[in-house]
Amino acid sequence: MRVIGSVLRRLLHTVVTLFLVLTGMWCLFRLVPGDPLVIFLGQGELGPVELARLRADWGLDQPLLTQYASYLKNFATGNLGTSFVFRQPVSEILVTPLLNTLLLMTPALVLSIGLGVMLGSHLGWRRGRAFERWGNALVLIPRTLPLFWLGIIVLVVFAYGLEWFPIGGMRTPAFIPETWWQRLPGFDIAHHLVLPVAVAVLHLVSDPLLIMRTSMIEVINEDYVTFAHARGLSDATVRRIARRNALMPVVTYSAVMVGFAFGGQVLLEVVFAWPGVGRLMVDSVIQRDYPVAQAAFFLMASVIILLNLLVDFAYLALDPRVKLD
Amino acid sequence: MSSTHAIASLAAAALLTLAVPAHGQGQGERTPGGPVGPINMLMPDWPEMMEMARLLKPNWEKLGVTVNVQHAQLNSMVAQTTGEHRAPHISITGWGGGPDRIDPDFFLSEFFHSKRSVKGGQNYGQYVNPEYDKLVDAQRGEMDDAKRHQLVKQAQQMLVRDRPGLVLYYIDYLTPYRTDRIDGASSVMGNGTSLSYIPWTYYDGKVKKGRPIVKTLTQYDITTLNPFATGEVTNAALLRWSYAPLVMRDKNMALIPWAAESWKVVDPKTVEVTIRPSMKFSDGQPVTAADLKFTLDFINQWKFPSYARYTDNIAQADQVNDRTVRIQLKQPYAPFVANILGSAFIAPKHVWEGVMTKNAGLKSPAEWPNAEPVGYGPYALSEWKKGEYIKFTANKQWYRAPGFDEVYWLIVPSVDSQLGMLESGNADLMAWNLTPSQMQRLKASKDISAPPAPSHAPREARFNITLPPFDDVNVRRAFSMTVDRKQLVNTLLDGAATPGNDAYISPKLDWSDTSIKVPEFDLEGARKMLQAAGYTWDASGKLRYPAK
Repeated sequence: MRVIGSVLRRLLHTVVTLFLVLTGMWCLFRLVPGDPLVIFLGQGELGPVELARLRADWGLDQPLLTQYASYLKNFATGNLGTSFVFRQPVSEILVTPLLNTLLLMTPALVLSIGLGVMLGSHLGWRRGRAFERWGNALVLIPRTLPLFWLGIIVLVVFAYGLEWFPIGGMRTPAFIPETWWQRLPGFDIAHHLVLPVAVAVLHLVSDPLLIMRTSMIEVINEDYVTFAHARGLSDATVRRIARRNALMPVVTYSAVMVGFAFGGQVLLEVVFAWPGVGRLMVDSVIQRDYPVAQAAFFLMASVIILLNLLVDFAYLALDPRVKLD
Repeated sequence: MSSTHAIASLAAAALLTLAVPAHGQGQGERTPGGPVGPINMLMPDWPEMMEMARLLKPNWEKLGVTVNVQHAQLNSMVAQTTGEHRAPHISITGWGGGPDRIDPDFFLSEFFHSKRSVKGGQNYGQYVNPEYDKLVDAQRGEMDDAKRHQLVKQAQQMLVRDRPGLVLYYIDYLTPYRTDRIDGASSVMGNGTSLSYIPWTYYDGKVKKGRPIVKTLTQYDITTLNPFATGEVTNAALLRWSYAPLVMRDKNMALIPWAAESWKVVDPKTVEVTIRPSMKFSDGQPVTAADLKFTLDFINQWKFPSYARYTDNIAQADQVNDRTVRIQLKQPYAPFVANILGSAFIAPKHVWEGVMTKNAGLKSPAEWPNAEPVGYGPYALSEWKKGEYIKFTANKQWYRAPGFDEVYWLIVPSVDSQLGMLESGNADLMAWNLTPSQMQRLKASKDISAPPAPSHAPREARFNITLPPFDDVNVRRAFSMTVDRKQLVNTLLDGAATPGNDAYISPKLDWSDTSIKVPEFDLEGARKMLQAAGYTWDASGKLRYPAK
């Protein structure tokens, strides 16, 4: 009973947070100096008369409160507005780039979190040994190198140099498969995925890895681990127990990491010409395409918030000592 | 915690990218004997402009003023100058040269006619001169070519006399392509080999080896397939591959019939256009004069902003027979053939007349996605994978059928990646104007060439003549004399540019008044001019206003 109460309270909390993010973002974009329609003025083809008409069409001449109210109403019914730049519904514009980003980031995140947890637990277990010291240093290198530089170097070596992989893009236009493996379904896209995913993993693996390592180090000093050793359990078994307990901070962090990964990989998308949502976000801000920018940012924020919620619930399963309050 | 984090990052991102410092405030007053205040100069954040500032500033400061340089993102700068008319003392811009700007009316009217000194117009320097207005209006309505040339020359002389802006240089387009793949590439004024505006490489070129499928690299995607919706130049140009305009420029800039077979200027306000026989839309329907009339009426009915400037002048369009339309203008308009027939296309009536009734919720046909464009020109736009590529398939029924079968415009935002793809043979052309260092790099490949083509659009410095000291023509002229144009051309572009003569018409066009020479760098002459106008320099060398 108490559990259901906490769950409901947590859900309410999430809804309120989402609402505040939506409002905050809407306000921020309205506070920005300059008038979005001025971009069209700048292109020279709209005079003041046509501009006034556009402004009326898009409801930008209404009082702010009215605009806000209609925005909320539309949002609730799934109408995310119409893009100023594309003049098409925002929801249609977001779909394909979002799917493209998902295609890129899902394997990247799965691999980085998976590898991060595995390697992190090994590093934490072997604290103090040479393996751990070298491991720490090596892992930090790709993390601290600028992502676009890393991407370009990888391209230089593997795409221009060795010509093992394409130089970018998501697929080869007018692709004609020649060998048997090229004829396998999805080969072209998979071929294009390898390098950007590899660079993303190199860059993203260090965070879960180091968190896991730290967490592991704390856990192995706990009493129950000493006790497990004392009971005569094998090294591998004790490590498995420790790992499960050390997993919590990584799970929490993963929620945030996944959210940011969706919007934040612009550099990757530019270097590899990947048509994803990160590029769309940046372009929409530059072009003052408010509806698209708002929707994309809100998407990113809500992914983080919702994943956080899921993580909170996951805690209930992972650690019985945790209460939701 | 995470939501606050999100809001904070959003705030930072929004404010950083969009904040533009306010200019046009506190820019100094003309106090007799007082110091000539700091000059504020605004330019886009292109590498060429950064370097240019370093060359312009020290020379201008030799006149005894401080010059503050501000770089801004192009969109922000345009919003401030063109959109809000809050230009600082000097605004430096590099203009793009679409085919509708070859006719002198664009630069002469759009930049300096008083009617365009309103928000949205490009006369953000606020040059208002009724004498000039009359001259420019006269050339616009003068249908006799020789007389019009005279009037255009006079307009140029007036601009040079009043010096509301400076033309620094006209760049050369250096657009690279692979010579081992493409035969018959044409490097054309305002377009180079690979851009989309006057694309003779794509219309007449052939493939030397391999499949006749050509790949071009570009940084930016289009935003719509609807020819009525867009005014953005590249988007419109690409759609014109399918919605072919009535008239086109050939490789020497002469006007040739394209979707039209012929045209006749019946009287200064009447033009008759006959379209080519046997043209077919991609859905098999024939292209007729009824479709052309429909298109002109449609644009007038809906007042699409992208076409307003041109069709505002069309009073009436009547179908004379199944291939001819008679167009009545409200006033004589000399650039009619070049600009209106050069951008007017034929939309299929059977598709567009039903757009509003078949699609609920549209406020205008410009909002219809037109996902399957029905055109008739040399290429059909057959596929658009947003953010990835645009695919054109050759229309072999076109009277001058392209030698390629397919053309892909690949969207690759990183120019470095583009260079790599061109060098490795993964693409055949690059729709990009090379910087000098990029040109050096590509010179190393024997299979890549970038034959230069001049641009007809200037790199210019516009004065805001409402702000002292630029309300004084002597100061404007002095500033013109302290620009070393040859140095700019050689240092910034390795010589791949033509110095400008401040007359705003490219010296490579026959409209140019060749008696107007490029100003030489002459610091002494500039100082003498200022002195004669009453300006003085104080003990520390700072320029001071005349004591009046």
